[in-house]
Amino acid sequence: MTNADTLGALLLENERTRPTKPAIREKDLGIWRTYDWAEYTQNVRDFAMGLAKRGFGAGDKLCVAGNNRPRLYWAELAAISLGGTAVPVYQDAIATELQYVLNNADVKVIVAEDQEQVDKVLSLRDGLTGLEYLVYDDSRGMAELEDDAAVLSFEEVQADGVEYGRANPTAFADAVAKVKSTDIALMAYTSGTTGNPKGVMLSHGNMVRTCRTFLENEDVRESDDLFSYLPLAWVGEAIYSTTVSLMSGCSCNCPEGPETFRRDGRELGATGFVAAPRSLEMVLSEIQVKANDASGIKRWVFNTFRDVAVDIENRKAEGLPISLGAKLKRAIGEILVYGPIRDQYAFRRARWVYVGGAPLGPDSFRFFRAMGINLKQVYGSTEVSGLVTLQSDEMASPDHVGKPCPGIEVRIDDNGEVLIKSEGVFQGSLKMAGSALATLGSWKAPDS
Amino acid sequence: MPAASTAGEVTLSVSGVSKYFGGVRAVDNVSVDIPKGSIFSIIGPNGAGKTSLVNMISGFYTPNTGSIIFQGKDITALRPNERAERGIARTFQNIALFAGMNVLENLMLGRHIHMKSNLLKACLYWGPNQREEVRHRARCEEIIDFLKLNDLRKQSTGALAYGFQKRVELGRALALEPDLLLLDEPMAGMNSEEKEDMARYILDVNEELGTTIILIEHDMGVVMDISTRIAVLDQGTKIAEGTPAEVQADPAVIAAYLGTSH
Repeated sequence: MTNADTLGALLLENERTRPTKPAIREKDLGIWRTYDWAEYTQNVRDFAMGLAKRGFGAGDKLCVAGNNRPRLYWAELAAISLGGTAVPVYQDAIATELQYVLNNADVKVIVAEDQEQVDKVLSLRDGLTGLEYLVYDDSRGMAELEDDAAVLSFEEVQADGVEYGRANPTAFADAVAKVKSTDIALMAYTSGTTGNPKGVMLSHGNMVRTCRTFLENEDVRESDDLFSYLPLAWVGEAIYSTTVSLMSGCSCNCPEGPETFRRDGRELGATGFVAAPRSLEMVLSEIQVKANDASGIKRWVFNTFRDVAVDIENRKAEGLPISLGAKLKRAIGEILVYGPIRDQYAFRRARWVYVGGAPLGPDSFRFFRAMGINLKQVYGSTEVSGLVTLQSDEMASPDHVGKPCPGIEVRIDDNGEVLIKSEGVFQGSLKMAGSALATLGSWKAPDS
Repeated sequence: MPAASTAGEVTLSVSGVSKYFGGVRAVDNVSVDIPKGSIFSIIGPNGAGKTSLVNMISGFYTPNTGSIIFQGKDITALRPNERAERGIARTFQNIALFAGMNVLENLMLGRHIHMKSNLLKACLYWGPNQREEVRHRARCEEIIDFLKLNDLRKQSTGALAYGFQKRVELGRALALEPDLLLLDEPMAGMNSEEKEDMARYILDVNEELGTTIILIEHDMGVVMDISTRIAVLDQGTKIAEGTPAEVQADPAVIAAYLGTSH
């Protein structure tokens, strides 16, 4: 595995070692379009140089708002490569929430996906103190803003970057080399339970080392395809999609949009997923509704073989032996029920599926495992770069969260608080003195 | 970008057209000039002759008198398909989609006049034909994206909600890449949310694609909001024309809609 310890260095390493391997795909106009690592890096470089030309540098903050689009990832990495910080926000955040985050983080540049996001930002314009300009990805509906000097297209910034890069050919590599692993790469806003959202600062080192721990404990291959469907603002997306892809060389894949992501996911057949319990619950209830709507015989087949598989799962969990008859039935069920379900719900190629963020009910958990989906739990939080414990294939269970990963220490103190010591422990919350217990090298999970 | 303009070039000039059905004068000596890049609405009470006028523009009816000039050329005697080739597309008051075909196939059908392959070549589907198909598919995908039909592209249109069917119909008309688009009551029977969406798409087509639009619509709120100019018909004759504000203040229009007090 690579020794690079900043995201920019990882990017350049991918450009050098696997230039023609797919880095990111986007479904656009009905077709999956692939960008290899050379194109990916060039896009980041051009955008970064365009930012640099306009004075963006170390310590500056860039916000991205929108759905999962390659350009938003490139913009994040461009800012990070220059020593700046990416501040992703939830695409459905309302204007006032957005204003708080943008001002709290002193965001200098916003990269917005489309007209909807641009309009939202422009409605706040007078209240945004640090904002210098806004860049949009999709040009639809932007004609009337053409004369606005503070509204630029992604192409414009990249075109400037190409020019700037020609005049300063080593500028990008120099900037990347200057970034230290202790610099803040990502600021993830987390609501916590009370008060205003807190800007959790994660350094390059936090992200890279956490991701390394993950890769040491899970099978991720260069040829893998990950599905980028989680909100950009969620730490899980930054770690398990962007950073994992940078470190292992596998590809990220962006669906066409929120309306089509289920169908796109099936077309793609990702090799691994990290999912929130809610989306798995939705899949489960859809399967149940469809089974109930099916004709009598189909319903009988589904119910019978589901019960066989769930029964086997339960016996396994209790350490009981499984009869030959049950195994035989399971083999038939694999052809009639489990295989088709995995295919329909995008799990055909998935070697691992992690559920995290909240617990998934034990019955739901066992159902997915019974269908032959390697569902496991991950426990983590934004403040520890999204990883504390993982379940290995053998110990997958809905009843516990698994063992702490090697190198991560967990202790429950006398008050019942969870103390975590890890390379992933954040660098503190922005503008909140005293909340950083990072000085002790451990962090108290307030609610879990 | 082509913003709606009221002054300057005229895309379509209708002068003195009449259409008689036996003794009924459906349209009687009507003249309108449609400015390029405008949204031009035709309103009037039921039976005023709005659809007859649009049918003469699209070539479905031949006028008894008068002439229709489109982009400087007289098209009065041309057949509907010849007019379509020159860039006039329309949607219908009643949905006229192919219900058994999916959204994409309906849109591809709209590309028909742009396709050059003959039947034999198309059956072979090789070389230039394949490239042609790919090119047209790409154009249709742009329309799908434009009208946000992405998640419906493979759904058969018969099973779609009414509002979506209307949107697909608009898409099929756009697939022609028209310079002039005739929309005959695109919002009839819609709920207010669907109307709002459709109004947004009509404005987008006008502003982003620069298409000139002739709109027949009964919802006065929408007409007044999105039109650049309005012509008012009553019993086959034009009784007023102007900007929405002018038309709203016109005593003849008020009389036609509300009746006069004596």
